[in-house]
Amino acid sequence: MDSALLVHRLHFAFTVTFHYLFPQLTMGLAPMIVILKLLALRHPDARYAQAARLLARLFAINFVFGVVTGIPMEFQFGTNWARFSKFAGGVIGQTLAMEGMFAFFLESSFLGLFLFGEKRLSPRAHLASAFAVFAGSWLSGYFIVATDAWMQHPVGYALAANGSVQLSSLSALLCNSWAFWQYVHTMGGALVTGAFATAGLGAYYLLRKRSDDDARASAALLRVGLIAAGVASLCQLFPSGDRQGQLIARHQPATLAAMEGLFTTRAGAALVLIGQPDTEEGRIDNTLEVPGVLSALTHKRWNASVTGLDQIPRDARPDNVALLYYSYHVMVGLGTFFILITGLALLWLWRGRLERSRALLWTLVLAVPFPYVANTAGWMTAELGRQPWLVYGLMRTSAGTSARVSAGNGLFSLIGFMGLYSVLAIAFLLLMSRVISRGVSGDAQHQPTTQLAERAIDSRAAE
Amino acid sequence: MTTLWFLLVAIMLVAYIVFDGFDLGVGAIYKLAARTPEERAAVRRSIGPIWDANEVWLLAAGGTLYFAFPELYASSFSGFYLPLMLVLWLLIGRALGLELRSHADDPLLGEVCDTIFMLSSLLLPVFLGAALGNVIRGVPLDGDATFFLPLWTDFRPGPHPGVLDWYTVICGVVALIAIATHGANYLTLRTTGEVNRRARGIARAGSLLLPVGTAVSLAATIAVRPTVLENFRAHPAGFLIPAAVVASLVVMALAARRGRERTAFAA
Amino acid sequence: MMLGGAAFALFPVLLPSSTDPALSLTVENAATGSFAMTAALRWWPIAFVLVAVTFVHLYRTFRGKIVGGGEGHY
Repeated sequence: MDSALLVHRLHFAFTVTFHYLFPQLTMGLAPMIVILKLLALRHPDARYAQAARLLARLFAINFVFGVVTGIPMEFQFGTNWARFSKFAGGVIGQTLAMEGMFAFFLESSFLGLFLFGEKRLSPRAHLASAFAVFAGSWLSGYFIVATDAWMQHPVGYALAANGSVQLSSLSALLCNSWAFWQYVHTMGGALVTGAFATAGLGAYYLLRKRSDDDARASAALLRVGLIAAGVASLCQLFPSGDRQGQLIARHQPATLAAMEGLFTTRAGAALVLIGQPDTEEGRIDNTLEVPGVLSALTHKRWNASVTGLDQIPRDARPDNVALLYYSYHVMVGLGTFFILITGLALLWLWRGRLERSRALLWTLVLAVPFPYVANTAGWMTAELGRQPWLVYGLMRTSAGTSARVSAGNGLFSLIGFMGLYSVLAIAFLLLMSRVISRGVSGDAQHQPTTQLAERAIDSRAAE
Repeated sequence: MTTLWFLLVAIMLVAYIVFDGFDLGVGAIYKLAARTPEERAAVRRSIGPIWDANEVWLLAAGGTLYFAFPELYASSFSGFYLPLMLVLWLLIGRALGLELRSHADDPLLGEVCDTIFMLSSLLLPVFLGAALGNVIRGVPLDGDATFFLPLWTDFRPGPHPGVLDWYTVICGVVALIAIATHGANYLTLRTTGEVNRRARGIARAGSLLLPVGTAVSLAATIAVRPTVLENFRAHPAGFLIPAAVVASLVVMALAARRGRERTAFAA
Repeated sequence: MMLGGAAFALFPVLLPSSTDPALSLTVENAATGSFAMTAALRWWPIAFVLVAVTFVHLYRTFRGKIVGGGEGHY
């Protein structure tokens, strides 16, 4: 691979991976907040409202970082992937423009209202603003996923005379069959992140047992987060994970073979649970397999033949089979762990023993970073799996970069971003830990602590 | 249809400049207008709730540009790679400086945030103005409709220009004056006391500097790209635009003297 | 205003070529397909109106002078 291509790929991969750490929490926390506020409406005591307020404080900080790291993404289609933009802009420009116009404005404008309008709005109106923020964030999620879904499975286009693709059907683009399940699976992943964060917070406060921590609010966080995490984790496996797998099996057989480490085509193909792929020799070392399951999952028949990499021409195979294999297995492995741990914790919850089980509470606290890993691994699976295609079947990744931007220039900006994002990461962790350490009730003086806080002061002053 | 979308994209870009322009302008004159911590806090509060929404215009305009003119988007963004990366970092710097400030208990950290905020807000209009200058001056597009400009070569707008040459730097400086004045006008609307007084002074100075700067950049533009006048000659109605520019500059200067803050800001 | 003047002056050229004017990017050769442009007209105006409304509301909520002095958020 020539160095410019590698640099541009790393550039996009690094910036988008870092960026996505934030929106997944945004999209995951938003429904948690809505649920807590709904519960607060129905229960007179303050615990649900307090829990919602804590999540809102964290949400505010997280949101700003998401916006700040998101702006470079829109630019990057043009700066580093100009040939791709020239080729596909006629189609994906629609979904990207929709995201910019609709979803961002919806989120940004209702966010302030939600964060600071609690005292000025009725509980119902405040819930409505929380719901609007949730809807806005999930809507922008759809437009972005629809864009990637088109790259995985192009629809609604026509080849134009100048070699580019042009839009031929807006509804086909928006209702891409690939997009639906990819969206459900992506949102589910975000929900797992947000739910585990919620449950982990509750568990942490219960473990900490500080006198000014409201135990009931902490328990509320734990319960709501845990139930959501359990449901979301299960649904990631079935139906959305399974359906995604089916789509890949049908439309991207090379991807499936590489993901599963299936080097040779066979009937009754086994599902490899663990093992290290050796791409030079074309085999997997020290495996743990379940016979026949791969065929069953993909083609619904135990003895169905599953295409292996041997039947795929070399130039149509994903260029990094090993990394793809690992990304996929890390994601599924973690997903399995999530199902197990939430299942166990829910069982303990049902028996009323969860709050006293320090081991389980600790596990939930320590589990919080892992959904981030799983989400990242999942996206790596999707994007590495799409290789060598940038637009599946239509444009190769190597043909999509900005031809006139040299490796040197790309490296300059990549290093710049790495440095800047390191600073951002430290700032983010410091800010979040400050808010978390103040506890569920929070310091009354330091309510939502961003510039958005100013809305509270000034909107009161303007009265 | 293409003309329609050209207009819409132009409107979006103008909206971005108008809205994010004043919060960038406020940032650019931040340390000039506000000296004490309370004054600085007041200035930050004047743009605090809205800068984020203002910035979204950039994303919306970019998205609209991408969809309507993908070749222009692809060509110009990759050709202007280096300045765009710098612009992105400055945007991040401005956001970080502003948002972190409210969390900075330590006064030294506060100073750092303030400086980052001010520098980023100051440099951004320079780059944006220079970008416009580049578009007017022209870039070495090849048969593939692609180009790549280094940040500078010899500072002359000849056959091998960089992003920064004497012409585009003039455009950048004029843009900075315009945006700083815009920001100062905004501050006179939103603040009281000392800050208001200082902002008024800056606005007044700006409203006098700006016509000078505009005239210089106009002369420079005609020197660099004489064809610029053709559209005006073909459609004399177009002369309304520069006439409006002149009128608004005059109004702004007069309004600033007389303390008519809102008029000044609108101009 | 000045941006508008520049846009008017350059039209229909979007990005002039300094090497050979014939290679400039114009409104025509840089545009997307006509179907896409027409399709976008179905949703873009709605979005724009929404944007305008929310902006007006936002600015109206925050008009007026800043009450001086800190209130513990710094």
